[in-house]
Amino acid sequence: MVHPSAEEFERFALPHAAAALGLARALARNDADAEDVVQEAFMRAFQYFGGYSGGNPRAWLLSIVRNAGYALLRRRGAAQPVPELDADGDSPSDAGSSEVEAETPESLLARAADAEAVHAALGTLPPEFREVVVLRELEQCSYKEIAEIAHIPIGTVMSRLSRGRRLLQERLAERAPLRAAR
Amino acid sequence: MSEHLGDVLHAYVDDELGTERTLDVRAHLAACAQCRRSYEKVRALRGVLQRTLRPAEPSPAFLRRLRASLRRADPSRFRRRAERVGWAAVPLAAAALLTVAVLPGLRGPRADLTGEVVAAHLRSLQVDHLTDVASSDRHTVKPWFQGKVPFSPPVPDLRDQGYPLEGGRLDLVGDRPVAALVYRARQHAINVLVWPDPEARDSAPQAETRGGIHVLHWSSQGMTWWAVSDVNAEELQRLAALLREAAP
Repeated sequence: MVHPSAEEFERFALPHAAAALGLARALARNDADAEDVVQEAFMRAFQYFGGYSGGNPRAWLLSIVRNAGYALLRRRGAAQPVPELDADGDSPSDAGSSEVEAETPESLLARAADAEAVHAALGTLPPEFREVVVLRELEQCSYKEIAEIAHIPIGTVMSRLSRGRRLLQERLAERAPLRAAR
Repeated sequence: MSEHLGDVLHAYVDDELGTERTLDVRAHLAACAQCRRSYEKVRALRGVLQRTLRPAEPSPAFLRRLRASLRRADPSRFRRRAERVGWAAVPLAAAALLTVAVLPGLRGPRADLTGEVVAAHLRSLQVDHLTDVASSDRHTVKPWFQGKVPFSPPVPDLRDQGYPLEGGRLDLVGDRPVAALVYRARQHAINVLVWPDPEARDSAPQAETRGGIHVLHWSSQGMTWWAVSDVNAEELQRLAALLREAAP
């Protein structure tokens, strides 16, 4: 089989470089690692490109980026354990949730006004929740695309988005007293 | 209605429900104040995210690195070149082969600068890669670098001396973004790579040859210069002298 040239692959893949970097950044949480993740993923995608059988190019590429991102997180995890939430993403206590219920959309909006707070809150989410939130809200992926990228059923996409957004609302609400005190 | 919407609310907000279920959710929202509040909160959060999450913008340096690594990994490179050009480009094919010989050295912890400069030259000879800005006018080439490299490279005009400017390019030597100026000597391309090195002492050109590619390196006033080409060594010395004269 004739392997496609780098130019052919670039025409196919480079239009999705920004989306790839966005997903890699959501997983890696820093720009330098995110670039390495994308580079590693694109090299691998180039290698597999001869066997690519059509379908959604963005989803195909992003699923490879995602794998490279998780490989990085595993390497990092082996080196330095990061304290995280329990596996299903529940916060250790549910004490804050009644307060969250009292939240009005307006107060949420007002508090989350700056991007820094949103990024910090997003960073506290486990990767399987931040990736679905970023894929949906930043890349505007459909549930079907997200399912393809993350290799999960569409029902799981829905429940992870639901959980991810709720966690995000809680984290933004938790930041409130701190910011008000400043 | 006894049960609240739960996760389905999100599929509704994301417009992922079919017509029938969408109508069910609307009916529920009309009747249930608690779900209406949840709905408004999800919408508010989405508004915040839409406003604060910015798309990633791959930097030109990153894209260049990405493309360079893809091209290095391209197994079809030699085959295609041989098919397209035949005998006329034997030196070029030899040059392309040399890239392979040089690059493994770059992966080591201590990269060798001459090897990297030669690799940059060879990469530039590949299809469509010689210049990012093609112009013989230094007043077009010099401003092009603005914002792409963190310094302002000198761009001497040597047309009257027989070395017309062909254009400029952003390149990488190691991980350092450098300005590449391309001059033409008859049918040969000469790459001149420039970047600031405040610690370098002024030095006269030092010559080196790698597999038929000549390299000259000198430093002057905090800038480090590399001229690289397959023109003969004397010609490259002459160009270097002109560059040093024009941009001391």
